[in-house]
Amino acid sequence: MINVKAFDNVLSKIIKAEAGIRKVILVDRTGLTIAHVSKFSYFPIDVDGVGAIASAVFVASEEQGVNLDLGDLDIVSSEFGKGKIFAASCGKGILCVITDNDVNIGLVRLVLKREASEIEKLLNEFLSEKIQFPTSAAEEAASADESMEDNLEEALKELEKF
Amino acid sequence: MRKDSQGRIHLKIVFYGPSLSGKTTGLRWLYDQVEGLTKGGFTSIADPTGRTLYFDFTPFSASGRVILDAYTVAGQTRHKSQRKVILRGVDGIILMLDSTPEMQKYNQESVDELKDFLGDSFGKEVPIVVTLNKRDVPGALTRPEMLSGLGLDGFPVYETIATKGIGVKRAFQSIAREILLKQLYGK
Amino acid sequence: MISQKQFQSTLKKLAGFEGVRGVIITTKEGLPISSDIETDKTESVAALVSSLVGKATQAVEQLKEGDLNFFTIDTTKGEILVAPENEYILIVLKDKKK
Repeated sequence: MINVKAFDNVLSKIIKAEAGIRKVILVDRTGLTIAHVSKFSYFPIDVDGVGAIASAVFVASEEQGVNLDLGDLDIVSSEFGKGKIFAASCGKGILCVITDNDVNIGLVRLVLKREASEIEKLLNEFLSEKIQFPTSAAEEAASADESMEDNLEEALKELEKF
Repeated sequence: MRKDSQGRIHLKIVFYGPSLSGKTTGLRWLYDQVEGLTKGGFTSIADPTGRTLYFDFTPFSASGRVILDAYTVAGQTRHKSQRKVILRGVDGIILMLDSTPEMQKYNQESVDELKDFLGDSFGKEVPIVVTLNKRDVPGALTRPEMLSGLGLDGFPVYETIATKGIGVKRAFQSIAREILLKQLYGK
Repeated sequence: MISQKQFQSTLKKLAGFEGVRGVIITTKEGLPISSDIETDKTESVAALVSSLVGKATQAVEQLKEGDLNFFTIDTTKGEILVAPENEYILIVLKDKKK
C-alpha cells in the first residue's frame, strides 16, 4: 500500500519550488481531495470545499475543450487581485496550486509540468489499490459473513444515530 | 467509492432533480440541523439570489473513516453539462421531485436526463432513493400520480418537506444504507 | 511606444549576430512573449532566468547598488545574456566564441 508520505513528499517538493506557492492540493476528477500541503500551517481554508471547486472548474474547462474541439487540457490559470490558482492535469488527478500574486508564473508552470508525470504514476498505483473498510471487522468479514453483517450494522448504526 | 491519502473512504451522494425542487434546501437543512455526524464546510456556487449555478457540496463523516460527500446539482435546464460533471464518480442518488402539479413534466425531464447520463447503472451500480418533495403545496399530486410513468418502480420513496426538514434525514440515511449495502454485498 | 515592426526587426538583428542561438523576451512573471526557439526550451529559459532576475534584483537592492541593468551567465556552452527592462526581460543564448 502506498505510504501517505509518498504524496506529501511530491506535494512538498512542489511547494518548495517557488517562494510564492502557498498551498498545493491534489484532487481527482470527481471532486475528492486526495492529499494537500500548506506552506503555513495557519493558512485557514476548507480544503475539501476548495478541492471540490478546483476539480469541478477544471473538469468543466475540459468539457468546454471537448465542445470546442480544442484537445486535451493541460493547465487552467485563474488570476485574482490578491493571488493566483493554477490547476494542472496529472493523469486521473488534478494538481492545484494556490499562490501569491507576484509568483513567477513561468516557474510554477514548469514545476507543474515536471511533477505531473510522477504524480500520475503515484496516483495510478494508489487508485488501483483495493479499498478496504478500515475496521478489523471488515477484514474478518472476508471469511465470515456474520462479522461482515456486524461491521455493516455498525456503519449503519452510525448513520441512524444522527 | 474512493479513498484519500489518509485512507478514509469517500462515498459520493448527489441530490438530483428539476430546478427549484428543493435540492439545496434539503442539503442545507441536513447541514444546519443534523447532529451526530461530523460536518465539514458548506461549499456553494450559486447566483446572487441563491439559485445553484453549479453545485453545493458538504462532507459528512459517519465514523471518522467513512465520509459521505454530499453534492447537489444545478437544476435549470441550461446547466446540463455541469450536472454531467457532478455525476462523475457518484455512488448514490437522492432524486428530489417536486409535488407541484405544474412541475410534473420537469420531473419527467429530469428523470429522463438522469437515466440518459447513468445508462445501465441507473438504480443498479448507482442506487437511487426517490423523494417527493413539497408535500405541503396546495393541490400536491398524489404519490401514484407522481410516480406513474417515471419508471421508478422498486426504489425507496420518501415524502418530504425540505423547508421543514421533514423526511430529509430518512432519505439521506436510506441512500447511505443503499450505498453501503451495494458496496459491501454488491446487492 | 515601439511598433511591432521595429520590435521584430530589432529581434531579427540580434538573432543575426554570430553565435546567437536564441532570442527570448519574457515577462517578469516568467511567461514568454516572443522567442525564436522551440517552445519547451523557451518556457524553461523564461521561467528559470526570470526567477534569477527576481533574485538578482533583490540582491542589488539590498546591497544598495542602484538598479539591476544587465547580467551574463558564462557557461561551458557559451553565454546567457540577460537584460531586464521594466516589466520585461530580454534573454539571448549565445555559443562560445571560437
